Formats: sequence, C-alpha cells, structure tokens
Amino acid sequence: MKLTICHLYPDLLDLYGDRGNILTLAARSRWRGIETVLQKISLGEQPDYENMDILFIGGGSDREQRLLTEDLQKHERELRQAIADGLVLLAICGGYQLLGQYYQLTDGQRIPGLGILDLWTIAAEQRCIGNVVVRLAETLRAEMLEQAAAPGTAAPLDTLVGFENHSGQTYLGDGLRPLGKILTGHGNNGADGCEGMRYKNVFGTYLHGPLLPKNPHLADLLLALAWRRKGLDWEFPSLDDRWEKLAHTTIVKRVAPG
Amino acid sequence: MKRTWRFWPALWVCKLTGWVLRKLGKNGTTLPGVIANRIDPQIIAHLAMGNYPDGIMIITGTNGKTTTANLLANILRQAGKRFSCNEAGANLLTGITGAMAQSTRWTGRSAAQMALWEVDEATVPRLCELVKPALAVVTNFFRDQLDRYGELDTTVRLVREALPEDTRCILNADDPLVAQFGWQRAATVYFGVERLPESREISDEVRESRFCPLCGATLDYAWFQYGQLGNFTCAGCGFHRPQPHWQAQEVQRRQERMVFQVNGLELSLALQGTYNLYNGLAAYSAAKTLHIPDEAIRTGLSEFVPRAGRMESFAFPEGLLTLALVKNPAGCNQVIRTIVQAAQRREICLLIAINDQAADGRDISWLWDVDFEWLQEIAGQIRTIVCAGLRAEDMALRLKYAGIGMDKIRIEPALEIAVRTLRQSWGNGAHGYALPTYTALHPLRAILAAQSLSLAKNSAALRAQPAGREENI
Repeated sequence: MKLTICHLYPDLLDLYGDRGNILTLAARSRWRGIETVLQKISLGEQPDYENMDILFIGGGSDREQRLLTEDLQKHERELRQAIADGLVLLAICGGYQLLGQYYQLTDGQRIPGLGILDLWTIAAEQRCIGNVVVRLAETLRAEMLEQAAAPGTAAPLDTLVGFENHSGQTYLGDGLRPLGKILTGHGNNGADGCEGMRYKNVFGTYLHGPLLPKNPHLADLLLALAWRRKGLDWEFPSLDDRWEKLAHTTIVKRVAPG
Repeated sequence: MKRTWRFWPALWVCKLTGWVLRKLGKNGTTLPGVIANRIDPQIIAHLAMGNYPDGIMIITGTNGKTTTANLLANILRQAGKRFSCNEAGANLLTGITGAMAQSTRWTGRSAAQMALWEVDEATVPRLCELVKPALAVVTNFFRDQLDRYGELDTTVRLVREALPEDTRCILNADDPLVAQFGWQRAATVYFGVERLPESREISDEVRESRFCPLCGATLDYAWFQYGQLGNFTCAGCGFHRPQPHWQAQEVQRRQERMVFQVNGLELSLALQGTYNLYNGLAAYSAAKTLHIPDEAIRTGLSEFVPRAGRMESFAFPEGLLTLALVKNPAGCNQVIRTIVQAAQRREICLLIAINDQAADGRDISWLWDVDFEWLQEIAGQIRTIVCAGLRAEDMALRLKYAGIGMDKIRIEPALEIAVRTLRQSWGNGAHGYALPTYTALHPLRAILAAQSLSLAKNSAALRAQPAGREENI
C-alpha cells in the first residue's frame, strides 16, 4: 500500500519553502512504514484526482498565479467532486485564495477563483508579514488528539506556528470554520482574529515557514485522514517529535509569550 | 538642475559627522548619509554634479555585489585609477551619500575620476532618478529576503525600468532574468560561463524562474550551471541566452583557487565556487569595457583577498576552518555544493548559525529551499553539524528532514558554546566550516578570530582595515 501525494504546479507555486511540506508528509509516512509516491503536476497536465491521497497547492507570485488559474479552470469540476468525496487537500496562501470565489484587486477589479469554497479575498494596500501563532480551534484539537497513538504520553501542541506574507485579506462564508484564533500576527484578514479554513478534508491557510515540519500534529492529521479515506484501519505509531516540538515551542515562547 | 543652498550645509554636516565618527572608531558613512539626505534630499545628484568625469558605475543584483565590486576596485587600483566607492558595503542611498561625501572636498569638488558603487536592488530606481550611471553591472536575481521586498518579479521589473536607456549594461548572459534587460537595448555587454563538467542537464534545485521573463512560456535548457543560470531558449518567443562577449572557458579548480581563460587570457582567482567565477567574470567584463589593460586586470583579480565571511579561512589546532556567509537559497546551495566537492575523503564538521533579524530576513522558510540533501553524498565524512543562532532549532529540524542522522546534529543557540561544541567534536585532519547568516557573521567571526592560532594568510589584511566596517547585506 502506497500513499500518493500530488504537488500541484511545483514549478510555478513554490515560494517560501513549500516543498518542506511535501518532504514532511513523505518522511512521516515513510517513518511509519508506508511508502509515498510524489506526483508533480505542471501546467497543461491533467491531475488524476481519483488516484491521489493528498493534494498540495502552494503559493506563488502574482504573475504565476494568473498563469495557472486559467489552467485550473479546465478541471475544476473534477477537483470539486474530489473535495466532496473527502480528498485531503492542503492549500497555502495563493493556493488557498484560488479555491475561493474571487480575488478583488485594489482597483476593484475581481479575478474569479475556482469558486469551490465560499470564501473571497480582497487586496489590501499593506502586506501582512511576520511570525504567526494560532490557538487551534477546539474541534480541530480534539481531532488531532484522537490521532495520537497514546494520548497523554507527551504534552500535545495546541497551537499552530508559521510565517505569513500576503496582501490579500480573506473572508469566510457561513459554512466554513477557521483553523483557530490568532495569538500573534494577522491571519485571514487581520480583522476577525481568525486564521485559515477547514471544510471537509480541505485545509486552507496563510501559514508557510514551511507549515508542516513545525506543526507535526497537523501533518499527522492530514496523513491520518488520507489513510482513513483509503480504508486503512491501522494504528498510528507516534514518532520522536522532540525537535519538531522544540522548534514549535521556541518560536511560540518568543513571539507569543504567556 | 543646480546645486541649491541646501547642498552646502548638507555636505559639511555630512563630512563633519563622518570625521567625528571615524575619530571614535565607528563606521563613518551611513549615519552622515542619513543626516545629509535629511538636509538635502537631492544631495547625491548635487554631489555628482561636475564630478566623476569618467562616469558612475553601479553593480547590482541579488548575490555577488560585494565580491564583484571589490574585485573591480582591486583592478582599478592596479590600473592607477582614482575612484570613489562604497566599499564598506553600505549599499543604500544613505551609504552611497556618505561614501561620496567622504571623497569630496569641503569645496564640493572630488578628485575621483569615477565612482564605483554596489547598489541594493530596491535602491536602483531611486538612485537612477538622481544620477545617470554610465555603466551598470547586473549579476543575477534570486529570491532574497522576500519579506523586505515583496516579490522577486517586482524587484526585477523595477530595476529594469529604472536603468536609463543610454546606461551601458553589463549583463549575466546565463541568467534569463538578467539577460532580458539587454533584449532591445543597444550596446549591451554579456558575460557567461561555458558548459562545465559539473553542469547538469536537469536541475532539481530550487526554481527561481524557469519561465520566459518576456512571454511566460517554459524555458528549455541545454544545461544548468546553478539555480536558473544556464543555456536557455524560449520556444514561445525566441528569447535565448545571448552569445557572451566574455566567456569563461577551461575552468580548473585548484586548491583554494580557480584558473580560467577568457578570450585567450588566463586569469586566476583566489576564490572557490562557480558563483565566484561569475563574480570574477563580471569584474573582468566591466574592466574590459572601461579599457583597463589586461595586465592590471590579471593582477587585480589574482591578488584579490577575500572579504570577511566570504570563504575566509581560520587556522585552528584541529585544522582549517572556512567561514562563509549564507543568506539565501541560491547562495547557500553554492556553498553546500562547494563543501561537498571539496570534501574528497576528508572528514568535515560544520557550524550553521541561523538568525532571523531584519537584516537576515525574518522569514526563515528559505532554509527549506536549500538542498541540504546534498550533504548525504558525504554523510560518512560528516562528524558533527552544530546548529546555532536564534533559529538553531529550525536548522536542526531542516537537517533531520534532509536525512542527516540526528546523532550527528547538535543544537546550541549561543555562538560561543556552539564554537566550543564544534571544537570538542573536531577530529584531527577534519575541515571545519562555519556558515552564518548576516547578523551572526560578525559575532561569530570575532569568536573564531579570538580562538584561532592566527588568521590564515587570506585574512591577515583584514585586520589592517578600520574597525566596525559595515558588511553588505
């Protein structure tokens, strides 16, 4: 049994160490004895949504973002279906914005997104840049605890850490839940104190840094969801996460003390 | 435009504060420059008026500005030219102002025939509103501290649009982001490196831009040197690597030195790494454009002493240690590749000090764009990697996911303790490397200098330089 991870447009959307997220998913799966296959899909290629377990869409510069929105529209229906079927998807920054209704430029012009999720983004004059600490939403935290093989063996993380760099302000529609509340930083829009989005098995966020190496609990949740969807009823061995947690807590203590 | 009344107090206050600072043993260009620009915002234009009859030369790009500028300065010195430069590496408007004022007399006259400045990419547009450079060398464009500049595309576009039409551009033919500057521009000079034994047909490195900067189509590469540098062609619009006027050929790597030919002239450079080959070539091309005699160029290049933190050597009882500044994925990849190539059968110990202060770039996600995986090729020879700095933990985590055994990695955020840890695990004959980011460079260098037996030959000259020099960031 192998886990297939698909990296969408790695040649276009690969800012801010995004590949660290892929490395982390692959390594944490491999360390538990499940090999992974990495598919890289470029412009003009048709992703095989039926045979993938985790889809990753990263962030890109404005020019690159425009190049690929058009390309993605071509297989928007298949992606929408896969999401409805529970495909595990991690979308960061530009990838997160793309899934929404539109991106509104400062001159009021609206660039349509894929329209799969009920969220929209409005460009702001000021970029949001800096370290971010997020207090995880209770439901999400409970879900992560459930994945841990032996709950209580180590102090579980209840925050997400990362670095944001975006000028778009994203707003969520009624059906979408944020990943958590901002302790440090701006998050989705700097106004409502929320960061990220969860819908079915889709996770959207502005956090890079990259996100998964320092948030092993989130990486493991993605893996567990993908395994469960594959019908694998397999106990989830815990890993030696000392350094992951050390890197996580060091930055929490520094930028969000107390 | 004429000098206004504001010019004189600005110049005099600038010179006076610079003089006082130097008396106090402090860096004498940035603060005076800040004050002078407050008094006269046009001071750079006013200082340039009637001065520098042979023109102003600027060097910009992401990596290699300081080394290229220092190489060129060394050549100009050999040729007996009088020039004003911001060698101190203060490459913003304030630093340039300070450097200009320092070499300008109280009467507003400068004895310099020309000016040579390394200029921060984001500063080029504002500088070109004030003065018109006769010559502009553009080294390369890589992702660097995006949290300061926004996006790479914007930076490249702003620099391209800012360079005046009649500024003679000296461009890296192998970097599509740079070479595009010369498309449709007259009298451009290109430099490039011929295919090397280690050039690759497929690159798995961090991508900067493998897409045509002119039309957006995918670029085809006959070979890659590193990053997006190589021999490229665009099937979409026909844009391609221009034929270099000055091409490095027959490159040989010797102990601590590179020897290569350019149009039949043999040159030698006391630096390592392909990226330094480009720096040497850029300085050579600028010197040729300035009609400097070959002999001065050859001597200027071969007798160049590397600057602080740019592959500088220290002698310890345990063995040699090389200090190399790392600041972005492209530069760091080149350092890692140089370490792997130089390793042969020797054992290696490493100290990597990562800070995330403003001058380093607050965002350290770039560590994941560096191919630390290459270290696996010499995994058996690596004794220890000590991770230090404010982001020591992140660095250790990066190495763990690069497949380096956790038993070889130590986390010691404090530099002093990190150096001690490195020395404790240093076996006889092993080669040491210390790779700090910008704000870790000077404190680390001070610790190494204090503990090493004597500064190695390369560094001896550095001690003679004024203290507190500001290094390029």
